[in-house]
Amino acid sequence: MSADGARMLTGDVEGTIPVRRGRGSRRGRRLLRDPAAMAGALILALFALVAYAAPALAPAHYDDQRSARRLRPAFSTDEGRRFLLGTDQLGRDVLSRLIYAAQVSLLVGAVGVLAGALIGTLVGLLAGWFDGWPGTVLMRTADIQLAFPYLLLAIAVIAFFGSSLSNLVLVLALRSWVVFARVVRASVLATKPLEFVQAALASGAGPASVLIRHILPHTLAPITVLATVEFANLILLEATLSFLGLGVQPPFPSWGMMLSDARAYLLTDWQLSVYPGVAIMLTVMAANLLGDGLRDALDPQGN
Amino acid sequence: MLLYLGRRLLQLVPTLLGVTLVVFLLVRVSGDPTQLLLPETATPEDRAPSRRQHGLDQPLAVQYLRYVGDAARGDLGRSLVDGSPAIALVLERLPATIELTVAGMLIAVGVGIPVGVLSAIRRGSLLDRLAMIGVLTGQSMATFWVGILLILIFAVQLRWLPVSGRESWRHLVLPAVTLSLYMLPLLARMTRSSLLDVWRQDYVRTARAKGLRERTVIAKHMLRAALIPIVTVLGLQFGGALAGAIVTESVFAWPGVGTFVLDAVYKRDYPVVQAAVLVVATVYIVTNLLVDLLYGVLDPRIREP
Repeated sequence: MSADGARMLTGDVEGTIPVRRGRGSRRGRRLLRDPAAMAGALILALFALVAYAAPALAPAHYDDQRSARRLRPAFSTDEGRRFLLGTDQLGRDVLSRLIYAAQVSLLVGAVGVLAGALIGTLVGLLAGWFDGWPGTVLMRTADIQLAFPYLLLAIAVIAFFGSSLSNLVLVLALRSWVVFARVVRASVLATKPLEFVQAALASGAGPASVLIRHILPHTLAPITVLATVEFANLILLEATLSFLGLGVQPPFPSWGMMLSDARAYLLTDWQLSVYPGVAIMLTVMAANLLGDGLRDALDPQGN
Repeated sequence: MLLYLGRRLLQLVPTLLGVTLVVFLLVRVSGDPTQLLLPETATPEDRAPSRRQHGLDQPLAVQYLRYVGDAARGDLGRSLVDGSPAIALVLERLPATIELTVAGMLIAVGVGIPVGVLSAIRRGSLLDRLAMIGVLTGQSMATFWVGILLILIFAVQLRWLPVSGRESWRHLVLPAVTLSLYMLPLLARMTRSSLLDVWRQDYVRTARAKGLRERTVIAKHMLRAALIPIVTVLGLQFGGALAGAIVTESVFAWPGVGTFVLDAVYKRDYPVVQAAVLVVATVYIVTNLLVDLLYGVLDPRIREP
């Protein structure tokens, strides 16, 4: 992307000279011309920056409590300090908590997708290459997992193993590996009989090197699209689990937990039930927009 | 058709076995159940009789077979909280969950498919764009947050509908609408794109060339072919909806399996959690079987072996 971006900047000049462009460059330009996808990428980048710089950006510590300033409305001040989005039931600055909570959502979502993509790609490569009984067994396992209503599985796993950041990531990876495995396997099955793969095999390349050097590059486009869409899904799931009290444990904030806490104050302080939901919606929408844009850029024929 | 049905029923067996294996392992891997039954001060020697009584001293494979045998007879253990059979407690709450899920599904189908059809017919129009923005927004909102917003608007501010509980149809409206948003966006999107897929098919052109009215072509020729991917999504979404019901129930205090299983999780009532997982997974698997059978009705090619 960054190389494409750089080429894009000089694109107008280059366009007048007959330069042979790679496929990657054309895809990159198609993506850059998609305002919705770019808006999505921008929002995600902004949120990632905010999460990374949370200690510097947040006006207060996420657990800075004071009962004297409970449930203040937005723009209120207390002892010379301004609370842009007001305070919560323990007198904590809502904006600061929103900023710190972005760390949980983005980190858990990203690590969950990464783990799911790694496991799923590995399983998919193996299941596609050994398409006899080993492949069948692997894909049956995936089917059985799909036979589970996922959220219930996640709740059961966390109920039995306890809630922690690592269990949260584990549970989210558990959800996403299946989709990656299926797509990669289908892609391996489609590429394996092709001439260039057979040629590589005939010239003495081992299966591992053929898989990694010749087949894997063909699966990267669908994996990228999937990863973006799954990232959106995992953020929603993390929020849901946190809302049910099965995510990150207090006092560290997460958007889902903030919404759960705010429920008790719905009659009097409904604004507390709005901010975290908007944060979730913006993040998920940004990832979905980027995912749609990537899909269109990589596969212009699809609807 | 009978052969097809038989084969699909046989395929249920390994899936159900897999589900029981996962549930069994979850419970065993996570610790010694007798630790929960006996006081915390109990030594391993104290626990030995209890372990023997529950068959925990047997090899894992034997334990699993006994577990499957018990499960097949409908014995999934007793609640650690009040001692009644776990399965009965779960089945008692199942109708409320199914009622909610089906109501949510009906709303999703009733709104999602027409929106998808209209968007496809008027592709690129303002209506299409608004619908697709709506779909994107719907997909990006956490379902439980939608529930909270609906409560805020319709129960707290306007006072049109009750906040929670399950007494009359009015109690069903907000939870059902919330749950429908689990399925509605994807359903509308799938309907639109699968209609656009069949738009240029030869048989559709033939139907138009025959001089059929556009409405007939869409309703009789295109929608039927487009229904197959729609039904697939619907089947998959039903499982998502069942799980989504857990969250929706928790938002609206709906007395179904969802609120029940969450309560069991908080109380560490493992037999109940286990029973609930098995029951919901079974409902899910059977629904997917029904969806597969529905394919056979929609598309005659699938019935032939």
